[in-house]
Amino acid sequence: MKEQKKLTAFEHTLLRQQQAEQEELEQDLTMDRLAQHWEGISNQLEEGIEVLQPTTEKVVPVRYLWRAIAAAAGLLLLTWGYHFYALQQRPSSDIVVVKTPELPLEIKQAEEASFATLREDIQQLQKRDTAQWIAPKTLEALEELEEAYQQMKNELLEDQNGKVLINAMLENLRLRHHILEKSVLQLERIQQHSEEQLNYKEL
Amino acid sequence: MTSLYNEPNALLIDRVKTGDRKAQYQLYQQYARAMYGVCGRLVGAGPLAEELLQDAFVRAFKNIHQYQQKAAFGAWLKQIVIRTVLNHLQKKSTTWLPLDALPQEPQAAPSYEEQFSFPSTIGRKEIQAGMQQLADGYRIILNLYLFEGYDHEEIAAILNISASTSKSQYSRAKKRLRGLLEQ
Repeated sequence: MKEQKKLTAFEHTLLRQQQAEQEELEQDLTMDRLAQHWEGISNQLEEGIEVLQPTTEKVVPVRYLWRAIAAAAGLLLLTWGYHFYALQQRPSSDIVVVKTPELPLEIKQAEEASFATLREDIQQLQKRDTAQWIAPKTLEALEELEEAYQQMKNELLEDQNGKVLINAMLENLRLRHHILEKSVLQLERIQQHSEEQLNYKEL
Repeated sequence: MTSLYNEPNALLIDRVKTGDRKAQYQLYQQYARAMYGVCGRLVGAGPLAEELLQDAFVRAFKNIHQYQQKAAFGAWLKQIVIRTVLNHLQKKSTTWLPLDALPQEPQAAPSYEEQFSFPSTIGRKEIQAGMQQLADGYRIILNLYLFEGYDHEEIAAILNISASTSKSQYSRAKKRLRGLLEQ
């Protein structure tokens, strides 16, 4: 145990006043400010999320491999479809064809296949994440990507810089699959840890 | 065998160690105000103290695995807060005095006047103003010894100086503050 300090009158006064100062400072921090700072902390932790990940090599479950292959095939089809569409749109004579811009059926189908996989993965994540550990943030990120995707699609329909946009759209879809995979893996780790804690308590 | 401190937040801290954001928020809510008080006394209330508070919590959560329950979580967290403030002052401030480079004063016994009298008319505002006029190093050492309750050995470890330097500089800091207040 620590020896008690012998304080002079001056030190006693300082101590008393600083304790009062501490109390006032603590009350100064309003709930709003606390919440603002938490947002800052949370964002910084989000940026450094890799730091929190275990350094052991990750094993990607087979079901994710299949989905990745399906997504890649869909995206290839999307690229091919766009070029096919561009060729079809090239006028072969002097006759000017005026059409409402629309993605051809092949592209729509490929896009739909990719979206279906994403929808399925989102549903699975929501179903498993009953404690809302991961899902809200993941969904937020996916919504932002969806908005960006739709914007690029509109620009593509207006025939603006097709190749660059196609690449960006592919990257957008790839990123969404990647985010979902990482979220599921992280959720599995958290749930495994919680189960271990429960088992430990029951022992 | 080292016995573990009976930390009331042990389960919550275990959840924080898994990266659980809700648990982090609960822990933050419990300690944020007190830690803001520490920052505020060391650098003055305001945006800088708030910025350092954020940095300290980020640092604490990223290094949470280093908390081994050998002491209270609050004490561990406070050390991180103090170190964050010190790092900032050493990097940014021009008034940081390298404490171990200063000449050391012999430890004189306090005079009768010093021991038993101090003008009662001097209040908190004057003391705060005086504290803010002190060089950063003096203010830190006064806070650590007098208000945070560390002894000179502990301060020596935190500030990376010798215990005798800590004693000597504490004495100088007190004298300087008293001088400012009696002006």
